[in-house]
Amino acid sequence: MAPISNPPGVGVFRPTLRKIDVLNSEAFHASLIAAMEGCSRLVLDLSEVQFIDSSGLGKIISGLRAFREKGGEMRLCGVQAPVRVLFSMVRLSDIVGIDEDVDGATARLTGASPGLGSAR
Amino acid sequence: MDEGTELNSVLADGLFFRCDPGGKRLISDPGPLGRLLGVAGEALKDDLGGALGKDAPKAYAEFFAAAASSSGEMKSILLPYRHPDRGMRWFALRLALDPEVPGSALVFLRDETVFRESMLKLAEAQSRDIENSARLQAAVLMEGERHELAGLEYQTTTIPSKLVDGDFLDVLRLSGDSVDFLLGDVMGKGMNAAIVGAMIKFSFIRALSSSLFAAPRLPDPAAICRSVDAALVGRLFERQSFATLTYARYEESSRALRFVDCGHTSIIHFSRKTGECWKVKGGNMPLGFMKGQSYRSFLLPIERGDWFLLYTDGLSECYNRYGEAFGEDRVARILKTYADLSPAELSGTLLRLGFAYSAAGFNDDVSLICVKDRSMPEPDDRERAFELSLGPSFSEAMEKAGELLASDLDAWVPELSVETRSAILLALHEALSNILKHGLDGADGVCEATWRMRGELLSAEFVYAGPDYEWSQVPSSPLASFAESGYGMFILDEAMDSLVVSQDLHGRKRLVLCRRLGDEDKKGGRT
Repeated sequence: MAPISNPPGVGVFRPTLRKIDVLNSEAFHASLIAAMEGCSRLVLDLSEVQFIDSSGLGKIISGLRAFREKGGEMRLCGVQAPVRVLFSMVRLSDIVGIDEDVDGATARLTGASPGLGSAR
Repeated sequence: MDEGTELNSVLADGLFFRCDPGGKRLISDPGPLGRLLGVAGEALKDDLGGALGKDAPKAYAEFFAAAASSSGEMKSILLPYRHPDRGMRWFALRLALDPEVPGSALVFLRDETVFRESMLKLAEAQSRDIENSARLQAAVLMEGERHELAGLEYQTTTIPSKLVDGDFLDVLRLSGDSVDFLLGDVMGKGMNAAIVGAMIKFSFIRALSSSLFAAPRLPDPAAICRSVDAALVGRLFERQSFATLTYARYEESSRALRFVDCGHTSIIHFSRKTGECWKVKGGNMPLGFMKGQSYRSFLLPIERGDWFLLYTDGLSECYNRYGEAFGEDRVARILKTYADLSPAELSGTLLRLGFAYSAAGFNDDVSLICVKDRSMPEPDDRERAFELSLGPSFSEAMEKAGELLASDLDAWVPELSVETRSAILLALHEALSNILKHGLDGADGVCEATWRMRGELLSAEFVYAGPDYEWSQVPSSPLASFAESGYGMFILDEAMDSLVVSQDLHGRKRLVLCRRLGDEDKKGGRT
């Protein structure tokens, strides 16, 4: 479902889905959990996702909770305008860091300077 | 000895005596009866009727004659008797012929004077209370000015019951394009209920005038209810009283009814387009149930030819001789049947049919506000209606609905911001998902979808047949508990101004979502 690239010390999961909704959220969740295996820091790059519904949102939050319970740390980035509306509506940034891009999120996770990417 | 003690004593000492069946001659010892009547006992011996029946001789004679010709059942009478020292007394006599002693009648006599006077005073007080509260109700509680509003025709009607029970009603014109309707019903009857009704009504008027003074824009009905609550609920607690009410504002520019429902009877909405009546509820408790409840207003689009009907439970809860209530469904069926009448004619018809149905007339006040939209038809170029199959082809149906709404929004409100546009499309998706998942219980089904733009108001209606689902249960913040579900209703609540679910007479459900698209929703507008 999603290619996984590996910048030094940080996993990046970039779903190639245009939509994450009630029809494919289970599959997305399985891929997210798989991406969490073997890493303790993860960037969820949503730059290709144009739409997420409540079901998709629930899976992201469920994955975030599971990852934290294992001691992992996750940040989101590449959030497109329609998805940003959803995240803002539920105030997702209260519980997870959201950055402009992978570089910014990686920098935050590794403690390096965030460079051009900025946290929200 | 005060009257109460004396009454008890007399009651305890109510005495039996024997006399002939005609009541002319006393057979028993005359002493006790003589003392009670204030006469010499010996005088009773041969002229009992002349003494005991002196102030109502005809009634006395008829009573004994009826008893003598009866087949033995007990007879009773309340007899006036002017006591030489104590003034007018009232004696209850109960008489039975004694088969064991032929030619003899057994009489029990009890002084009912104090009891009767108490009952008379109570009846008089109640009568005064009813008269005063009815006067108050007519003068204050039911006064509503007549207003002319283009496109809207209405009729207010009230029938006070024998026991005034505190209905209150008002119609207020507070802006050029709106009319406010207030209809409520105070728990209890009589003067207390009428006073509480007056308190509530004037609290509304005071809250409205204060709000208008503070800000020229008309305050939302929910804000007015909050002010009334803050001012009044403590006093309602003290009086151990509460009221159900509907406070509704018809907004001509957006062709919608904005209402707060505090535990009142359903608003009946007749939709000319669907030909159906919908029972519409809001979400608040009665005023006075709890302090500081959170008031919410809801929006209901009203189209040309539509009706909305507000009424008190004196109509829906009048009972026939089998103990069956008239019921909201019957009210709705009458409205559906007579939708071509005028509001005045419909009011008369509802009252006539309700009265004919009830076994003993109306026991409670019956108040009605019947409103018919007679506005000019809107051009239908800002409206879309179509049918969606929610089943195996759910994905395509959702896709299609989303594309249609997106293109309609782009055409109707081209300057709409990306944020608002996305929020509305998300709300559509969540509404359809919830209808499929909960409304249709996952089964195949058809949903009739309509959305339209009236003034600044975007509304979307979804009609479907399925099991009940509690659409009004909005979780406070599922995020706080990292919950995996519960976001759908939260999103709908955040994305739209109002979500109303109603039911028609066939059990079909109608979900209505509304959002006002103001300047802040336009590109570059205030966020």
